[in-house]
Amino acid sequence: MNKPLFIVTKFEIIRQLKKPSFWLSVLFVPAFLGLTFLIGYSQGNENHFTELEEDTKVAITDEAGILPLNPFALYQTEEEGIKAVKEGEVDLFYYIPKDFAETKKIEFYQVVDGLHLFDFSSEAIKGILKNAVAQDLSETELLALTGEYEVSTNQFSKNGKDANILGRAIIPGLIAISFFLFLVLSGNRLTMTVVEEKENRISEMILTAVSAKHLIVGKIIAMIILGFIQIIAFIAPVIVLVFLNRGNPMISQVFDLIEVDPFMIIASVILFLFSILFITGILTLIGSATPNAREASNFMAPAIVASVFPLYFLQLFLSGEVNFMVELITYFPLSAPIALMLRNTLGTLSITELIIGLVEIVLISMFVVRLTAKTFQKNAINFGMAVPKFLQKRKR
Amino acid sequence: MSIVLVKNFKMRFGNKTVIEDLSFEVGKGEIFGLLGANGSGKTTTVRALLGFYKPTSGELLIDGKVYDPEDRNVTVGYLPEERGLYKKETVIDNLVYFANLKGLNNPLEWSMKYLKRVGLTDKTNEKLEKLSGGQQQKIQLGVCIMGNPKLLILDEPTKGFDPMNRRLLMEIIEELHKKGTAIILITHYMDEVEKLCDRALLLKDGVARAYGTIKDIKNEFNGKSLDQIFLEIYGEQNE
Repeated sequence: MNKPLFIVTKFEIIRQLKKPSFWLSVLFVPAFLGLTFLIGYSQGNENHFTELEEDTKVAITDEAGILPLNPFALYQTEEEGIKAVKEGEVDLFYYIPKDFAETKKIEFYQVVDGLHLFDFSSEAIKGILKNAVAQDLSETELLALTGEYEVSTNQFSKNGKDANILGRAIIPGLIAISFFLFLVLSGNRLTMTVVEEKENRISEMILTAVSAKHLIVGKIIAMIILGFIQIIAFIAPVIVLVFLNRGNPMISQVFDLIEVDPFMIIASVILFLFSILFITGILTLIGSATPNAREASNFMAPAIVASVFPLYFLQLFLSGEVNFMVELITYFPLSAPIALMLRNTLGTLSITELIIGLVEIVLISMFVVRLTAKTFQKNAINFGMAVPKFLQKRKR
Repeated sequence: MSIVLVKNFKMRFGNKTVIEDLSFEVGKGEIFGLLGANGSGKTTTVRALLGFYKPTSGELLIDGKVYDPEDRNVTVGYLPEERGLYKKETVIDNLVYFANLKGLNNPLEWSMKYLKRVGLTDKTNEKLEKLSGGQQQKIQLGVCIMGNPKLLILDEPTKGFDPMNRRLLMEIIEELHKKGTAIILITHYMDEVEKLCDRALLLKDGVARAYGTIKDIKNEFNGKSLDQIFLEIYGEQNE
């Protein structure tokens, strides 16, 4: 790497890594997710312990005759059971009425000392009834009746090939999410890193030591590296959580579903890398064209909204239909990165469209980076807004 | 042999002509005064010389070349009128960063020596924003003179300086001058020009009104002092 470029990149990376605000923004969401998971996990465990303690006294009055041998038949009528619960003779009382088959309803009685968010009463009686009925059924009949089996989906596309759309979308989808995270987490920093020199009147002094081109490109490289650090810091806890819960049926089901489609993954990675260069160029251009942070934020917000525009039309993309609106969003420069990644994820992007989209992104990125360096050089010493000539008011 | 050569320099911003056919030279090791009232074109000339502005026409060369900030054979120190450094970074990080960019062999050693010289060793690891205005000026000056530049451009260097820093600046100018650094001094203080400069150029509305040694300029204006000459030229402007 060119020496001044390396010096700028290193300086920008180190100074950001030293800022507590950087780590706060990096770790806030993963820490929040982790905390939420831990609270949920501990509460889940608490519920488990409260399900049926050994000394819990249960009574069931079965007028429908579902339980041939009812060890919980302590009371003849519903009223007796209710009275027993109120007087503390039993903790839980279930009443199965004679017309259960019609009403499909069981009454449950319990004395509580607070708000019970996690009610396990229905699961308990369902388990007892299921076990009672199961005694007269074969294993297959029981399985058919309870529905506790998996339906393995096998779809075919119109050309007869296997069409595991969801499985193939998982990896490209994660790459698209990573880009979205980069945009959300790094957007502000990308713009502000260029505004700083102007706000602090550093521009003239630094431009006698390094060219505007190397200063801007160095900053862009640094911001991209920092963005990757942020993405890794963001995703790493999720990976750890998934690994720790790899035995969870839902997670193993997702793993079983994943299908590696090399074309889609390579396309996603290329789109991801150039999209990062593209959006970094756009946001630093805003920083280089505006005199201060306040002005920059006025332009940054619309640019980010335009970038995530495809998400407003997510339903349209999910339908798989490629109409005029989808094409428009796909090739509109600011929305192109997310639209292209989204369509690649859903398998509705042809090779031709991918190439056109990539060429567009690469060309615009190169143009924008050059323009950013030029704008910075020109605007760095004006300490004012670089307004294009056609927007300037003519003096009369 | 000249370190700076400006030949037929013309600068227009839109329809407004800021510099009209300006030519001058600055010799190696010379202290050159670039003088004029506000808006006369001094800063524009320096910015064009350093490549911040593209001239409408003419040639602006430093050591025979169009200035390239990354050419280590032509080192320039520039203290602009509007100046600042990275406020959120420490004093040492600011100095070392610029020293690295300017290609110094031992950036840390140079920075520590400079801080010792200006009595700021105890501020080494302080953030720049924690320093007083005068202390920050010392750091800016350090960034400007690091690496013994061939050419030093000082735009209103004493503006806002306290007497202590002003004396430090004068010492540094004399020291660099002895080492052979050419200095372009942009100032409104004519006493500084008379004391320090070998030659000067007086600009008015982008046109050279006087150019030569201080003695020649005084002779041209019947032996008047530079203060009187300044008032005579720019007084016309205010009438």
